[in-house]
Amino acid sequence: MSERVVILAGGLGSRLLPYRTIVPKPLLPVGDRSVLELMLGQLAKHGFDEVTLAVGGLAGLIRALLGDGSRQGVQLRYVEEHEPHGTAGVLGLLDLDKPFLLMNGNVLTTLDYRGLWDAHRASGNAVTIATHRREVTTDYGVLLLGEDPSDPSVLGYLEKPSTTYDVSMGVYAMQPEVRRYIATDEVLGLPELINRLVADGLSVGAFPHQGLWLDMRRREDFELAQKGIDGIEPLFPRSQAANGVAEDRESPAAVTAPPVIARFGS
Amino acid sequence: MSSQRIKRAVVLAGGLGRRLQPYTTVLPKPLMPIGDRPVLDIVIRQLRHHGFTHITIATGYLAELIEAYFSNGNELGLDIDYFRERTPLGTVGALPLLDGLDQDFLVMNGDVLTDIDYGALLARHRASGATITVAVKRREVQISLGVLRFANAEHADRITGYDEKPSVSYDASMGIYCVSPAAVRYIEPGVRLDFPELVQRLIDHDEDVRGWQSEDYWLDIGRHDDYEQAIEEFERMRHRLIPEA
Repeated sequence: MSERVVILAGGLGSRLLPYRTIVPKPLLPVGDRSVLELMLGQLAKHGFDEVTLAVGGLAGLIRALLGDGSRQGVQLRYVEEHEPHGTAGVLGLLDLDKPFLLMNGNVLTTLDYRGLWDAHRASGNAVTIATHRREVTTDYGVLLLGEDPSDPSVLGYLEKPSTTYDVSMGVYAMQPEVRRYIATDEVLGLPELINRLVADGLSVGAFPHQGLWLDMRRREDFELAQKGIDGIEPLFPRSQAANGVAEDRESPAAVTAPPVIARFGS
Repeated sequence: MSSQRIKRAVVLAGGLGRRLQPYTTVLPKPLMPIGDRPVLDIVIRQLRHHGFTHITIATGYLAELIEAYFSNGNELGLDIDYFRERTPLGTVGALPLLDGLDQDFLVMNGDVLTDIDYGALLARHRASGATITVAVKRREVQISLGVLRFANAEHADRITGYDEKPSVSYDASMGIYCVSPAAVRYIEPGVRLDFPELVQRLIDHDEDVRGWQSEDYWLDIGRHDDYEQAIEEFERMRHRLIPEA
């Protein structure tokens, strides 16, 4: 029941000015807790308690807030990334000897992590991607045109049509073998890694989730989270551990220096 | 016969401009300023430049401001009249209520910033014999999500590709149309109707509806992004947008 999770908490919220200048994205607030705290609470509940946080700029703030993770019921370790390696490149910096979850630290979701894990373990996939169905509406009147580009006939006219996409939630269950597809110190994004695995014949599967999913890097999702806060908060129950020290919010959580397992770059 | 043809345009200027609030609480959208003048002023001067002599402005929201601005068009050497919608009639519902639409004419939104050749568009429409010609512009839209591809779209479980923030392109209506009197007969007088429904109705009746694929500059001022882009680019684009200026 004790599983490993790697959380990418390195990026700054460039799409969320002016917040990004002072707060790393995973610490963006949802009510009186940060996205990352909500995520850790959910993971702990599902038995994912060996957590490695890959942190970049403003790492100190994350450390000061979360410390060794005991308040969230997890064991937190930190990997400092001084130069960005991309969302998959980070894995090249880690020792990975068993299956693990990889996730963006900006995701606010009620995903059933245990369900994803069990489906992944049963599937034989190299990677199982948690997916969400999103409808995207175009702000145009769109014409369906016939084939002759020089004199097309109009076959249809759709006002602000919507298209449905199955998108990556930024949560992945992975086998340690994927590490072989990433060179040490390589800058690599998750999309490239997935395409690399598929091209090599490895099996990549999907685990659909239709509940709450907000990517807090997207401004519209961030605003939705703020607006819908009354409905969202109860979905993330406070753990016993968190309740016990809620009064001590002002005092630094990391009185004891958090363990650093590795430093890379510079 | 063709020498008697006059070029007439109907400009739609009655919208509420909800997307540009709060500015549009005091200004109708076509009077939103671009540089030193309202976008509709640019449109009217362009129409004149391309040989249009009679312009009917369909107004609704804040109609009196638009009427005060353009008056009867004499200052511009144009014949400008107005149709005030008492209830919103959509983009085509007013057409059967207008007098003298017995030749092919141009209909356009009063808030588009473009350098399209309106005269050539109307000439091409007349030559083709189509009931309606729609000006279209290809627009790329970025989907800011990680989009997955599947081996079988019906059973979305086996993933075959991952596209980060893919671009999708659309043939967008520019809000500029050429309309024949035959098309107007498909519109019930005084009943709200928009172009997409009219076009569908014509297609259903096997009428010929054609597209004109434009490479011209085009912004829809009713969209926030486009409006900001228009303000930013106007001085650079001025010579293309304002004839004889």
